[in-house]
Amino acid sequence: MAITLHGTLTDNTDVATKDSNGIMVNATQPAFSVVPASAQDNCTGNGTNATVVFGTEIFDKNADFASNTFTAPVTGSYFLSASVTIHDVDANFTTGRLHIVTSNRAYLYEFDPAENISGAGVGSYSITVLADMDAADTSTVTMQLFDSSLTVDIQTSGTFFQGHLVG
Amino acid sequence: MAITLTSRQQLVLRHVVINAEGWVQHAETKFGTEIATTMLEQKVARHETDYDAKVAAGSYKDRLDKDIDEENMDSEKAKLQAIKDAR
Repeated sequence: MAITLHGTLTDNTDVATKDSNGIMVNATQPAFSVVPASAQDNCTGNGTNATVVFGTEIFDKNADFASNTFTAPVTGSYFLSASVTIHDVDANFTTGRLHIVTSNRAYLYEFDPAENISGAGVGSYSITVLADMDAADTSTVTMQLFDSSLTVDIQTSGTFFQGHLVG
Repeated sequence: MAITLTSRQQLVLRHVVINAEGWVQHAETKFGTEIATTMLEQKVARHETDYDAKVAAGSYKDRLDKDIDEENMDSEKAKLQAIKDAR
């Protein structure tokens, strides 16, 4: 037997379904996956804290993502994961910081760029957290490299931000 | 109508977020005044017990002051201090 839940008694829009195999789907359960629409050239390298620009939504099930920011629609625990791939990095850069910044706290992954750079000067860095967010709290991703000039790019390939409400 | 924080709401919000007024402004823009007001009240209710406990324990520091203390890079500490000075 399949079960379908509607939004209200007078609204026949499906908000959740459970099929005969017991698989439940909630069409508006907060979940998003976004990627950059284009590269961010020369956005960090001298300590500038660059907010990663995510111009393409792969999906955004409850329309919670806009202007590079996820806004929690309800209080809960949110799984958030980000990967940022940077380009034009060399041994002059000694410190890098990748943050998932939420209203209640900032989650930091600090790294030495020189230790994870390909021969082409490209490195990918990722961070995954289970974040405590209140309704209306926000979350963004920032990348920051120090100790040289404003020459580091954030490239589209290998850069993404994803998340969903756990409960 | 824009939400105006009470002094109590501002104190509790500053206990958990760096920019209390910015939080309220974003909530109001995203959800509208009525829903944002409810969200603000819920957030304050959720964190005020911890705020009161930390204040009662003495030597209280809000979120921004704690972040300034914990920052180990001078350039970033200066940026946080500038935010505090602008309050």
